[in-house]
Amino acid sequence: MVRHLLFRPKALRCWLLASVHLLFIPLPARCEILTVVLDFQLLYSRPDFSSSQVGRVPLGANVEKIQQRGDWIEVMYGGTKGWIHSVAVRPAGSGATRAPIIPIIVRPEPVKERKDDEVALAGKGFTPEVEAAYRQQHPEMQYQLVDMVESFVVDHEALGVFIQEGGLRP
Amino acid sequence: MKGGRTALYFVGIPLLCWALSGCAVTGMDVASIAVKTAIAAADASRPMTDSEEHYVGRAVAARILATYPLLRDQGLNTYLNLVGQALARRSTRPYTFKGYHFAALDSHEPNAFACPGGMIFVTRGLLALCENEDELAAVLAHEVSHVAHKDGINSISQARWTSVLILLGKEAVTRAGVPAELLTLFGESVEDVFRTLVVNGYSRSAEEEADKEAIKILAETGYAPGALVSLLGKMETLSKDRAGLLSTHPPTKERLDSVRTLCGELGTGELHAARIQRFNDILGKPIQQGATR
Repeated sequence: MVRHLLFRPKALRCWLLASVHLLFIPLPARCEILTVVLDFQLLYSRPDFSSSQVGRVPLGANVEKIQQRGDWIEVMYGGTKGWIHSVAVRPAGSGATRAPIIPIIVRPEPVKERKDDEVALAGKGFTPEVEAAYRQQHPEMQYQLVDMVESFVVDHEALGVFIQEGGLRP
Repeated sequence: MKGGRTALYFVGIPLLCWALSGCAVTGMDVASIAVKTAIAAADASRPMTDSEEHYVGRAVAARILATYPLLRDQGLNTYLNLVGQALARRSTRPYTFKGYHFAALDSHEPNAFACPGGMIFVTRGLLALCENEDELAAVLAHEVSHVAHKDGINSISQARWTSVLILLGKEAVTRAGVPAELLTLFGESVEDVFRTLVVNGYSRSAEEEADKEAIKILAETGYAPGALVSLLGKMETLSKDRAGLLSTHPPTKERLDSVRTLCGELGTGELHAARIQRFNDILGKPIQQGATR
């Protein structure tokens, strides 16, 4: 009798709905702890280097992971929430205590200049606009050579070969 | 009745929202000002961002390149970047806003400059002092350490940076273009760094810390840490003979002793045949003034 009631069309609909709802019930959050493996690390307000710095984390400190976005991880440390580059942290207890080796040369995203008022004060310091005005004021400055030097980039593959051939540590 | 309820949903609620939004304008402005004030207060003591450091560094580099000509030797500059990148990834600051870049300067004065943000220059004169790739790596590792420790940026006076932050706190800065006052402060900050790099030099403690990290970088990369000892030894001898040079990296006896002790703890690596060969291919012959390859 009970079995019969459970499989009635209306009851089935209820079961189905309940199952769908279960999918949206958040599981208890598992707190992931990371260890900072580089010195002089900063926490940023956004996941990019042009954002303002909100704090510092010392080498060996444990931070709580909140979320990850690409190469950046939002963490909590000493009551301060901020973003840290993933190269600077390793899972706690993984035994990593020294600086990790970057497999590629990290090339941060191009400058993102935000115009909205919310970040205006943090982003309106020494910007490309200031550089442009300064450049105009000082034509003797060799900015075109600076651009040239910034174009000196080594290929990741070439660097790997260079390291291997020279008997250096990979 | 049902129709009346529907009318309430579709007409009454939007009307109520519209009316409330009209009343809330003043409140929104107050909230906006409060948020801006809070951001300004939090920003009043913020350190320089990596992107701001990058633009100061570019200006310092432009100033250095107006003083010392760039050595347009593609083979040499590629070699410097390969050695430099191999070292930078082992430093305490393996990434900067736009990465590390290395280049040679056409000057007989033995010197090297680490611009904030990661642009590093080494002169023809200092390259001539290096007898092998490990000694060249010692020079570059020392300069990478200055970038990692933000020694250039730290030479900007706190009062000047505070003036920048106060200026940024003014509403006008967020609205208008580049205020003349901000431009002046930028120029003065560039001069602070340039003077430290080229004229006055870093503090003794900054040099010692850079030596310490350089030794660590060299050892972790696989270069002989002792290369820093041999290079500083040559620089010390040279500075006695040629007063006035090496003013930004004066290798005192105490500094040399300290580096020797640190290297002793790590042991000395061996010179690798392939490293000797490629160094000789690029720097085996003295670089002539104005050389282009």
